[in-house]
Amino acid sequence: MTPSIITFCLLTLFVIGSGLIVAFTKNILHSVFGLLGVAISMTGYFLLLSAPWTALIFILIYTALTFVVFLFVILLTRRKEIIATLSISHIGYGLVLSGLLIVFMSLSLLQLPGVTEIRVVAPEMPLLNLGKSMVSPHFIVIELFSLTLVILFVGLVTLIRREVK
Amino acid sequence: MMPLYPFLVVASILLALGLFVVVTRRHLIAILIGIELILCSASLNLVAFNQLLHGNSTSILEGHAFMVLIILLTSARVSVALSLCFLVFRNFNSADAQHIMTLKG
Repeated sequence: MTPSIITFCLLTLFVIGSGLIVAFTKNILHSVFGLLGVAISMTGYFLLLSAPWTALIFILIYTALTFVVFLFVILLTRRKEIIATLSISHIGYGLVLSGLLIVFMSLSLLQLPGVTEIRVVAPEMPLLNLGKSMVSPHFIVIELFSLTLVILFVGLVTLIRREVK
Repeated sequence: MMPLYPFLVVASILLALGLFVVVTRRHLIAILIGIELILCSASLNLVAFNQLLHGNSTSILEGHAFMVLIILLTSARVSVALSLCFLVFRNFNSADAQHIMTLKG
């Protein structure tokens, strides 16, 4: 058992536990905390996969923003609305769909080619190359995304603005 | 060196859990949390396959770049979707997806 495998096992226990909390708890607030646990575990996986800058971006932008926004919206809703039970009539559908997905993914994993080893050594200049990979070949796509997001946010502010009479 | 398939197994479990949450929950915020789980599994897949395909190269980080795009889009999507949830709650006085039978405000 190498340290990376032990770390992987601990992270996997944590992520599955947090995922089960998200799936089965009734309180939305607990679900958000479960999601936070999943996101922190993801950061650990990225560090394990030799992607420190990606892990940094993930925990700084995604985890923090998502957590704060979810908590903010829960704060603005009524107290009784944070209790959300599972839809009993849909549990069967959910189990069947998830089971089918697991079977399909397992069959796909069996089709993987033989050489599937990952190197877990940190690269030398990841940040510069990450910027080059993100900007150079996908420049127009990123610009279009940015423009779309600006339009979307302007529309959003217009949508939720309360009229003052 | 680590094998690739444990990462894919974890991503599959997260994907299945996210799908389960999306199908079984009726609360709008809970459904969004399920979608977040699905996107987390996609991010893990992207970084793992990038490390598998270009593990020896430090010049090709396309999987990481796409993951950063996913993070940015997800952050924006969460903000927009939660604002819409709040709007729905204000208009319908409930965040239950079954109570929203019309798109007319």
